[in-house]
Amino acid sequence: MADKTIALKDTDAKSADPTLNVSKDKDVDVLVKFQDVSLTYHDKSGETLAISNLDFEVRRGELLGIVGPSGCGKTTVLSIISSIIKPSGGKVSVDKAEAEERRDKCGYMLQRDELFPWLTISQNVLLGTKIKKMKGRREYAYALLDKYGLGDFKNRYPSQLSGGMRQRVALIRTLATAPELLLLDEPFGALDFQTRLHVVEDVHSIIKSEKKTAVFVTHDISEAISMCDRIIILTARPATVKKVVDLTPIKELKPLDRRESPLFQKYFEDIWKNLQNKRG
Amino acid sequence: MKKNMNCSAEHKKYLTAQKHKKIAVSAMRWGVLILIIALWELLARLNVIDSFITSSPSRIWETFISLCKDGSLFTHAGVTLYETVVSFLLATGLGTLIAIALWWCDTLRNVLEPHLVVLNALPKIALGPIIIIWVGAGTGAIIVMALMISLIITVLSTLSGFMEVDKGKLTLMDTMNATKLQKLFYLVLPSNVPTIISALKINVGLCWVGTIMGEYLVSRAGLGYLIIYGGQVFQLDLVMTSTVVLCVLAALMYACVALLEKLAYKKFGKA
Repeated sequence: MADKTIALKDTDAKSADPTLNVSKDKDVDVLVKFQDVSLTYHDKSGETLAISNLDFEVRRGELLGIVGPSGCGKTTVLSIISSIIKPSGGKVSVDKAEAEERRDKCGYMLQRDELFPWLTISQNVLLGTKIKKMKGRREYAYALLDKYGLGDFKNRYPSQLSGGMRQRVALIRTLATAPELLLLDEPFGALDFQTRLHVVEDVHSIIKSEKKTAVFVTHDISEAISMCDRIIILTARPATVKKVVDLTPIKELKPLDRRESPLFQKYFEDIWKNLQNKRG
Repeated sequence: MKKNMNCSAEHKKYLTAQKHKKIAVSAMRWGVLILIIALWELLARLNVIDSFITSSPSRIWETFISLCKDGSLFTHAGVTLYETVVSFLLATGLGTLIAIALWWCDTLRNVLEPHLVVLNALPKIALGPIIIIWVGAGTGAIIVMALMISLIITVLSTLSGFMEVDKGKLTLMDTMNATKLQKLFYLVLPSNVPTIISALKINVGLCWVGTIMGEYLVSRAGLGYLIIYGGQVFQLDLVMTSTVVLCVLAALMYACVALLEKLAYKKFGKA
């Protein structure tokens, strides 16, 4: 109980001053940096400020969660990181790379597996490497399939696999292009609850054992707590950082074990409260 | 076989019943055909119907044999088949290419779409005389005619397939930084194989219509010419024989496309 209060207090202090979200510590290896990023949408009915003054960073090797009220622009944040969408203002850098190179550094995992039904599992896994014209990735991709229990399904078609297996294939397809940064956009949303728990476990262990940096967007608080090292809570539109929750105390636990931890409920309530009351 | 070995007696009974049902339906199908032909022949023989006007199966068969002997049937059927296959291939190929161009360029699509819809609504047969004047009364005009009838609908149906490609998969391609050409070859074309095949199926029928209409107008050679000629000289035997041959050829071509569809669905069918 005691250590938990300290942890929460620590982050409360951070959220009080938004500039503190960005670490001043020079030792921290920062991969992604958002500085004062804003985005304005234009359509027939007018313009909407979707994101304003967004400051945060993703440290190398961490699994950062982004939660926020629905429609607050969580997915947009990922699109900005990978430069599919250009921000209206502010500065974004991924490993100091400028816009166009950024997309090659990022690997996406989407809500649905989006496996192509007319390709075999091995062809699906190699799709990204073919499109990016990367040579000699076959060995690595096949090794990943073997390592994560899909070796025997290389020549099967997606329709012959279960939902959980398909989502693992989707992750390996992303990893095959050796991205520096994984962007996970509600990747479990289309799975039923039972499968979801297992796939969360799988994906977490794959990301950790491949030592990847990942940004995980979700509306599911408990999923975020069971996966992430740190969680950023966004406000409703226009999105900005409301609070950063540090999950270091349960960082070493696996997703299913975290759900058993007494801290889990505390974190849940903290994030829940912050999502409830509107800005400020 | 293996499956049948270890299934329950009840299931075996069910399977046998299903099999019997299938055999019965197929027997009845042939039965209906044979019955109609037999009735036609019988009524003609008994002079209940005037076989000068209605012809009869035996007279059709005689005409068929004599047309085969002097080889004219093969010439005419060959001409028609050639015109149909060429226009069918052209319609499918050109149609798909035009659909790709329209998918590629949003502005082009927005500008041309209403024109295509109007062209599609136009009864193309009305263009017959113009086509004959422009292209000349021959095989060319007939192929253009069949092409006119099937091309626009191919473009429209293929294009709508292209535009309905799964948005999530397009997003995936975007996240992989795919170029438009890569999106076309890796996603849009493969996912539209079923659409293109179903366009083929429609085209088979339309191209036969176009070819026969063209032959009616041009009247030089082909099954359409035989039918028109037979009608003009009141040789109903010739008209009926040509029609039956036409029927068989069209059915064969349709069967080929259906087979292609089966193969394609196996590979590209939606999971």
